Order: sequence, then structure tokens, then C-alpha cells
Amino acid sequence: MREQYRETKVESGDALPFCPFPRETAIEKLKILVVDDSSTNVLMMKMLLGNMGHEVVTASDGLLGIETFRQEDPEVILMDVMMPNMDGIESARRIREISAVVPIIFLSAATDSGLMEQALRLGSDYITKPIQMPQLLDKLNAHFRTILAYREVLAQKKEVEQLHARLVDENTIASHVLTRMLSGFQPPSEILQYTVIPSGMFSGDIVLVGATPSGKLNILLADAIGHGLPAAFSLMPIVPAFHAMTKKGFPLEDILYEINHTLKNVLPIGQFVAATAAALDWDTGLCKTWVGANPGLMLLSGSRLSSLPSTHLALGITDDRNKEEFVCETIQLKPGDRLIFASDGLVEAWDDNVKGQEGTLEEFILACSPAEIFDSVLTVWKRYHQHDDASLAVLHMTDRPTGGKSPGETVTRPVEHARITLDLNAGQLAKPEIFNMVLDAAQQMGIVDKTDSQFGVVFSELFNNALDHGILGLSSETKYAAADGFDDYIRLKQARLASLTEGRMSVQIEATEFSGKPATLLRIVDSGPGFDQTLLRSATESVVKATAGRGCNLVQSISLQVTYAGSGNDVTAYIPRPE
Amino acid sequence: MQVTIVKAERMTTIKLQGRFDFNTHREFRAFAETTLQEAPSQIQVDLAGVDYLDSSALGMLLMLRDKAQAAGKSVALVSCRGNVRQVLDIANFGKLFSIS
Repeated sequence: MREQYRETKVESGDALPFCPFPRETAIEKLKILVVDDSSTNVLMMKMLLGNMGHEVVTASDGLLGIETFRQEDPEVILMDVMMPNMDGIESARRIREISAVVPIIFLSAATDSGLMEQALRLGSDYITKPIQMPQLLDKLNAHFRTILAYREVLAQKKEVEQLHARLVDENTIASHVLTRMLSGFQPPSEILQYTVIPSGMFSGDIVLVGATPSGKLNILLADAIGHGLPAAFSLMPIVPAFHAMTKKGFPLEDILYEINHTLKNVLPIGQFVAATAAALDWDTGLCKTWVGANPGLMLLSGSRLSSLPSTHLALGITDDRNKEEFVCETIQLKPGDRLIFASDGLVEAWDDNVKGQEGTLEEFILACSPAEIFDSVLTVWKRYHQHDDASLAVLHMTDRPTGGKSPGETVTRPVEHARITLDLNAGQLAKPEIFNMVLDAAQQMGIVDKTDSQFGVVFSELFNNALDHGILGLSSETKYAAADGFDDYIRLKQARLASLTEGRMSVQIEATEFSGKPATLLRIVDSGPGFDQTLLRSATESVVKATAGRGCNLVQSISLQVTYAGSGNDVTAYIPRPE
Repeated sequence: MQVTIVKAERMTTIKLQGRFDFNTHREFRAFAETTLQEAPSQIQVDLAGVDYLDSSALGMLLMLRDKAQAAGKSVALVSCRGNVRQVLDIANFGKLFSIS
């Protein structure tokens, strides 16, 4: 049969190029649905059309016809009118709700003209019973172009369905990877609350949080151009750079500089990432801030709400020579202050949809109880229909965050009694990154755990004391002498570092025990003149508290023991190690 | 968005009207490319008729600037007012373009 079909194909094709239903055999194989309650009719059509090479599926009433249509995706329907359960007209009406274009040819014994009119409105044509096969084939031929067009629609529909299924698969994997990459440090919610609400499956916004070895908190809210996967992908290079550099204690300026450098290299021209960043030192309340092309960072202090506006370009635009772009501002936070980070998606949507009912975002925040700003803003914002990715973070200036270990992060056990000793000369001490290099070395050697923030705090304090007071001869009083004393102090330190030619510091870090418990020994000896350490023990005078007191109290409270030797230029501290 | 090119002896002006957003990406790109080839050393983008501008538009302006620089030409943004000016200011585009 099939062989015969092939032989006649060319002949028929030559004679009638668009005739799939020649009286004898078919050129095109079609899938035809026959809906008829008469089993004789069904059998006849199945045989005749089947013998011509077409595939015939059947249903015995209108209701089953709809079901078969759904399951089989036929390319043309032959529909009887009078049937039990559901007649052909109703069945066709419901099929039209699924497909407006599938060709339907009614088969009817009825001569009721009203019925015929209805049938024609829903279908493509009709043919009266008893069915003459030549007539049926002529009708099918007459509608062949429509049938072909519908076949194309079906093929496209299948293709779209397949593409969609593949897209869903791929997106699920991508989404999994992106979500895992983003999950990291989770500070307690009394300190920082944040959320990212994507407009689709992927977010073009991201909020990253990390703690430095000395316990500083770094926060970055970034918003890439556009939506969906391309935007989410543009954010990816930021994640490892932010976390790695934060863990090593790099200053915020360096982190932003590095992220910009990476983005500039990997993003196409015209794609960039707006960002708001802050680095908070809990001990001093000093907070570095940086806003590039994002809405202003809001500072709530008492009943006063101020905005630190965007003063920089977005990340990924400028080339590396432009270091000025990453200079941060420093603000002083007081206990009870709040820093509010919001992405453009949140601010713009608020202005467009929420402002009319609830007032401006600023007014709304001022009306909130400070502890509930985050929840209140989100609750109201979610009530309105939103289109863009949005993110919000609220930092509460309270006490120091308690331990921050990434979920699932493995803790490398320090090597027992391993030790490093470094003798640093003036040239090495003048390097701004020297502290991080020493800390990094101790971590790389496995002497100090990377997540041990207590060691970081003590080391930072004692290292800086030795450097500032012992070697550079700076007096803490400068810091508090005037309103901008801290700035003066930093300037003076930088100037003296730049011209430093002599001075040495010896740093010893050892994994050991103290009173039978695991501890890290830290000993720092500097070449400076030392100081009167007895002052520390009688630290009741305000002058002592205001000067050397703050850092030393912190060191005392964390350490198991702190002892000074020599002229005060030789300090040894035992810091408890995390279990 | 409607794009009109006005050519003068020393200056080609790209006048934009309507919404300047992601949907105008192809159109703007095509205009920018033909304009760049023929333009004299100065190009200005006139945003007087633009009533909305999103971050994708900023990206398109960066792309134009990048291509113009490669061809040794300069791009200025003119007639920036209201909302448009605000978006350009938040993005600190004054550091990259002459804006007036």
C-alpha cells in the first residue's frame, strides 16, 4: 500500500499540487478526528480515509469528541450534528474555546437551515448525509489550505511547548545555582533585615552581607540593568569578589574598586550595576558609605531622616584609572540609628503606586516605629501590584553582631601548637595592606580559623596600637581633640606612614592552650618607647577611658589574659579559640 | 519613540521623542550606527521630547558614547529637563557626558 502511494505521489502532485485527498491515495498524511455516534459511519470513514494513508481517531459523542481533541491534536475534525450526551454544535462551540482555527466539517442529515447556519458559524463547512465519499474528499480538498495552515500552527505550538519546557528546566537549574551562590552570612535580624523581591523567576537585584575578620559589617545592595536572567547574570561576578575580600578584611573602597574592575571586564558596554554599599565598625559607630546610581541611602537618627544621595557612577562603567570613584564617605552612627537601603524598583514603584494612598516613602518611614520600618514598608508595598525587581535592607545600629558563620561552611581545625613569627621592617609596616597580609598568612597556615572574628578584633586593636602609638608616635588624644579629630588623626597617620624609615614590629601567633582550653597566643613587640601600662589597670580616670581605654577594654573583655612587658611595648594576649 | 536626525555642518543632532526605554533598543542602535558613520566630530542627543527614560536608555547612551569615542567623536546630552534630568543626575552621568 505504502509503495503504491509513493509511486503515485509524483503523478498526483503534478496534476493537482494542493490536492491531498485525490480520489485514490493521499499525498499528505493527515490526522483526522471523526466524531459520530453511528458506528457504521465511523467504521466506513476509518477504512476509507485510513486506506488512503491518513490517521483516523474517533469519538462516539460530542463530549468524548472534546476529550479526544485535547489528547490527540488532530489537524481536521469531521463532526456529526445529532448525537447523544452532547450534540455536534455544542461540542464544536467548546472546541472553539480551545482552538479558534482547527478546521471543522459538519456531517449532517438535518436540513434545518437554522442548524446549518449555526454549524457554519462554528465550523468551516458541512456535508449532508448520507455521506458520498467523493463529495467528502472534494470538501476536504477545498479546505486543504486551511488544514495546512492549521498544521503549521500545531507544529509551532509543539515547538513552543518544547522550548518552554526546556526553558523551565534550564531556569530551574540556573535559579538553584544563583540562590545557592547568594546564600551566605546571615546576621541576626535585630541588626540587619533585608529582602529581595524578584519580578520574575530571577532577580536583577541582590543584597550581600559579610563580616570582616575584625567584626566590621559590609553590606552591598546592587541592581543590574534590566530584568530576568541577563540581569541576574550581570550580578554574578560581584558575589565571590565581595565575600572573598570581606573575609580578608579589605576596606570597602578596595572591594568596590575590584568589583567595578571585574564588571567592566565581563559586561557588554551599556550594561552596568547600580549599587549602595556600607561598611560599619560597631566599636566606633563609624560607617563608610558609597552610593552609585541608586536612590539615596537613608539615615534615620532620632526623628530626623536624611538622605545620602548618589554621588557616583554605577559599577562596571568607569575604567580602572579612576580611583576617585570609589572614595567612600564616613558617617558617625549613634545607637538607635537606622540605615535604610532601597533599590530603584522599590522607590519608583512606591512613587507610582503607593504614594497616593500612603504618602512618600520618607513620610511613611518617619511615621513607623523604628524597629518596624522593614516589616511595615514591605507589608504596604506588597499590597500594590509591582512590576520591577525590588530590594530593601534596614540596618539597626545596636550592639555588636554575635558570631556569623555561613550556613554549611566548613571550619578548618587549627594545627595544634603551630606558630608563625614575623619580623616586620619599616618598609613593610608602611604598606596599607600589611595587617591583612599577616592575618591572611596566619589563616592560610591554619593557625587561626577564618571565621574567628574575636581573634581578628584583638589582633586589629593590638596591631594598630603598636603601629600608631609605638612606631608612629601618634597620640590618641588627637582623635578626640576636636570635632573632626578623627580625620586629623587619619591624615597624620597617613603622612607619618608615608615617610616612615625606621621602626620594627615582631608579631607572633600561635595555636595553643590557656588553662586547658584551646586558645590563640598573640604577642606583639614594637620598637617604640612603650607606655605606662599601670594606667590601664586603674582605668577610672576619664582621660584614660577617652584615649587608650576604648580599644584596650575591648581587648581585655575578649581575651583570657593580656599582659604587658618591657616598657609597655611588648604585649601578649591569649584569645579563646572557637570550638 | 520617534527619532529625528538633524545634520548641520559641525554638529549632528539626534532628536528623541516619547519613551526612551528597553523597547527602543533596536531602533536607537540602528540610528546611532548610521549617524556615527556620517556625523562630524560632534554629536548631540536632544532629549527635550523624552518624557520617560529608564536604565536601559542609560545603557544605550553609554554604548553610543563608547562607539563615538572609538571614532574620535564626542557626544553631548542637551535639553535634559525634569524627570529625565533627575535620572541622569542619580546615575551621575555628568561625569561621562556634557549635560545641559
